[in-house]
Amino acid sequence: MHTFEFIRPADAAAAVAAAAQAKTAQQGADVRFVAGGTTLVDLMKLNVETPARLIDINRLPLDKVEATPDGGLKIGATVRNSDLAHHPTVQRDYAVLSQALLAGASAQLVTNEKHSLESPTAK
Amino acid sequence: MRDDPHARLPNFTRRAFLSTTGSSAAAAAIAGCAPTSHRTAERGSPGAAADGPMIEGAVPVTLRINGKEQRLLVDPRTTLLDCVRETLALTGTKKGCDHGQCGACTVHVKGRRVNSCLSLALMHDGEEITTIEGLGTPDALHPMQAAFIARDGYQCGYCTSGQIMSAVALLKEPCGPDDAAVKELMSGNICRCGAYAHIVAAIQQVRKNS
Repeated sequence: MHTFEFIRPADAAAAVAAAAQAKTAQQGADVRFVAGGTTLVDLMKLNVETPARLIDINRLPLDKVEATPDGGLKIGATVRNSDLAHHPTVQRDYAVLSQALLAGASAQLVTNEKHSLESPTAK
Repeated sequence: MRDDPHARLPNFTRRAFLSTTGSSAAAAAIAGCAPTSHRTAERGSPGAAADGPMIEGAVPVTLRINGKEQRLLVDPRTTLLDCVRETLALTGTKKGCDHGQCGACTVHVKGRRVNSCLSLALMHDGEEITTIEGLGTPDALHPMQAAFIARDGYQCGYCTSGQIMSAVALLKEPCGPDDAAVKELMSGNICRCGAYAHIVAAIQQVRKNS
């Protein structure tokens, strides 16, 4: 694994600013956000990902699952996939998503994993 | 009288031998996964590496392992697994695949099971970690440890600590009553000996008694 600078920003704006100092978010990027790390750490071990800077977003307040006014669902970037799958709203309104999350990996991996994007309306 | 070469090495353990000879040659060969962290007495102090080599680029991290605060200096690349095994010498947690597929490295972070091989130690600064060493003692086994013994839930034992950590976490997770539900939730822990039936029996025994 290549070495890297480990950064824990105080807020989301600082995280974005730290990321903006690097050139791209595509594969091979110099900077990566790390949440669960399930995929990223694995790829870093294989030297597929070789970021010079790792921005840890785990302490940022991004662990909420919220319904949006237009009937969608806003999922925070650090919501654990196991929490998302067992969230009452997800179980009731997005049953396929819940089942897919649980079927997608083993129980402890689903707990390792964190959601990394805002889902479009999937209802 | 014949000179016994072993008599000259009274307390020379396999682990000490490997850590001595492996640190120079092996580290160069497998830098990507070699343990690069080291225990230290004082966080960030100049004399921090007095009991071992200075690690270039090491950063401080504090982990609460089995209820005890551990202030460490680690290479940023150190996984939680390598930190527990190599830095803290808690070798009950096992390294199997090192890629999140086998579950041998399962530990609890804030009471929930994770694969410690896919997590960096630095990501857990200040967090509560429980390993198999923190679950029970030989004199006071955790009920799950006792059940694994009673039900013969292992053969070679390599996967066992991961199986038990996973099983203990399962007790607090949504899980149906039947064996199939237990098997599904234990699917992240591979047992090459094939002790699965006994493992399920051990877990069900604990669930029935709790």
